Amino acid sequence: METFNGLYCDGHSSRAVAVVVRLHPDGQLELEGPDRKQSQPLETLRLEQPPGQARALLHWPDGALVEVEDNGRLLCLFANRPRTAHERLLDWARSHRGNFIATMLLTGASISLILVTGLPLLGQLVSFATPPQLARRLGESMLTKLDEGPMKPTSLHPIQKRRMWQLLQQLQPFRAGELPLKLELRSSPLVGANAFCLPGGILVVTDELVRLATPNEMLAVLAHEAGHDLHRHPMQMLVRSHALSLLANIVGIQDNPFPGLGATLVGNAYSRQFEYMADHEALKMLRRLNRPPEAFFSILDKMEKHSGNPKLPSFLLTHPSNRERRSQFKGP
Amino acid sequence: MSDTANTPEWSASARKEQPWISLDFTGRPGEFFKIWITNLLFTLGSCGLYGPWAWVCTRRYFLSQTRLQGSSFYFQAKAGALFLGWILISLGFGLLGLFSDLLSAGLSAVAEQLVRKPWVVLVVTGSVGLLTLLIQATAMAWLLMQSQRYNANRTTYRNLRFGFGSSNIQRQLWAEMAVLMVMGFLVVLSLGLLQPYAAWRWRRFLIKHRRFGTTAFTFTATPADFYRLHGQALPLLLLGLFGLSAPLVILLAPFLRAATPPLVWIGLLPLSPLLLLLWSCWLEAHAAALTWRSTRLGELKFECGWRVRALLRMKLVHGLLLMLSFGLAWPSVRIWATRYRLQRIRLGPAAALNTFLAAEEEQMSDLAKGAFAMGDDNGMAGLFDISL
Repeated sequence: METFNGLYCDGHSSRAVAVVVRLHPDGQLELEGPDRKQSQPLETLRLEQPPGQARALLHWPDGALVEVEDNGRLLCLFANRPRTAHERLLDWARSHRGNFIATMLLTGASISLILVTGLPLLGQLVSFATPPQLARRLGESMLTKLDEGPMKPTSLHPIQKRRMWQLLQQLQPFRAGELPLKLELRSSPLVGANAFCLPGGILVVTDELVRLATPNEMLAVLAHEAGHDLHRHPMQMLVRSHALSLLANIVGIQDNPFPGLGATLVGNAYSRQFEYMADHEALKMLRRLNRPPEAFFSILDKMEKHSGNPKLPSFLLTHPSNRERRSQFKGP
Repeated sequence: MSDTANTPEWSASARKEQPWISLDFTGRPGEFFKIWITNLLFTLGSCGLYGPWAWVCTRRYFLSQTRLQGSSFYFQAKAGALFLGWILISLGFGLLGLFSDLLSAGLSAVAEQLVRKPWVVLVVTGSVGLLTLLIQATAMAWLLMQSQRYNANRTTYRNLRFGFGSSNIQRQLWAEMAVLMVMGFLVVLSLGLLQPYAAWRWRRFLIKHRRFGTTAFTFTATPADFYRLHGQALPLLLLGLFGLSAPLVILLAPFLRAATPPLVWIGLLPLSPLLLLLWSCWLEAHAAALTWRSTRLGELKFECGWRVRALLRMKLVHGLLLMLSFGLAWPSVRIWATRYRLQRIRLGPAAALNTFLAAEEEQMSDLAKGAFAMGDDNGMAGLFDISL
């Protein structure tokens, strides 16, 4: 005869009574305590098993319950109870060390698959399916936000502006079937000498960079930014970063800082990958225009000196170091 | 300022006649790690749809590992029942954001065409933004109340349910919630001067509407108690902020025609984060002690003995562990932190635990069920973490 010790709670008051539960050979479960003795067929009781090694609960038809410490033996009694596929799957994953290791590996593989294949594919699908006009509207609204913040109207001389426009025109033939590139000049002491590409082929160049670069260097910079637009990098980055933060929310619960940190590092890795791709596009364009690719490195060096930022490990950066870019650029 | 947040009551002579008992937490890091990793896999595999099941499983684990006088707490929610409400609420918030953007863009375009005055466009977009904010704040308040109700109502101890609020005081709950929402803005506007008052109101709201069976919790602390507490912690906060301001002073020194700041000031800079962490731990421990000793449940009294030094050490060590393990130590960290916090909460007299009676179970709509996880993701929050 199986015997268990438990705590009986009648459901009417918070008083808990120590009881002994016995299973008789005829399938009757008998409960015996200081002031009660009752029995019930086993199949009329409901077993509730919380996750982990917690006490199991035996629910009686009258609303009472018994907390039973030795839930391993109790579970054997209810081995034939109907279980959902979800319960079976959870038991499988948590019951044996081998299964659990397989679950861990599967979790790691799922995250890797999502990061390496899923998000890039999603980014590509969305960015190339977005109509160019819509992308440009998005880029314009982003620029408006920037204008409300660190960007100020350009203070360049009209001749400098005209030169910039002429440089841009040299790159337009590389954009068969695309919206023509749009150049936006801004002054920003806070951002410093820099250039970036917004969705819809909007290239933003700061006055500080225009003053720093020679015409060949500026053409290289514009070619690099045009390379970003050719691959729809701004739009892809937007989609990927949204998806990454969603993933970080799924993975991260409460005060775990790792998913947020991980998402930042993965975002940086995506950004560095885009930089290499844009570099290669710029190299191709410069070669076809018979311009020296060295101009690109010289402006990168100048920008590095101008920014005065401390040197950090590359995994913390959104852009590869000049040395890494040089080696990649000269590779093919 | 003392290290321990214990009160004189901690060793009261009454304890000898009527024994007090501590909460016990039996959760194990390895066990919770398994639960966490399977939850993660299923949630990723289902693109997040497994969320309610993962949440219920985590909460059930933490509650069932919490024991008081030999009995465990249980969480009896069914994740399947939560799913529909959860989807509806997620969609509702998504649509509200989209609707507000579209409405704002559409109305401002119309205003621009008709009136051609920039200030009219500004007023239109501003009004839509304010309206959206109001709708969102109302929705958040409703969700917060429903989540408190749902989580309390599905939590049992010795087969008796907890509860939060009741249908006949809905108007009072809404009024209090509205004050709390406004208080959030006022705290910012008052540069933090109203923070102690807001903290007191928030705790009072969470505690006095909570009940176990038919017995309601009571909360006797006053705003003055919280102001006193924040006042005692103020020197630490000021010292931390003083150190943090050193770089600003160095930058401004040439403009102020002043020499570089004193060496002490610069020396405080690296210590500032530690001082601010110490300030938050001190406040956490003492606010918890004040909250618990001001809380009653019928005859039951509570005490909380979190130590400032232990909280500080825990936060530093746990933070380091999380960084070194790339976040994989999180399940262990959570178990250790919960164990410390729960095992230093005591209540008594023990005999009073047997005196509570059952209340009727509340019925709730699908939408109310969907509000389950709002601000209450801890598994223990709402019951034992109300001091945070």
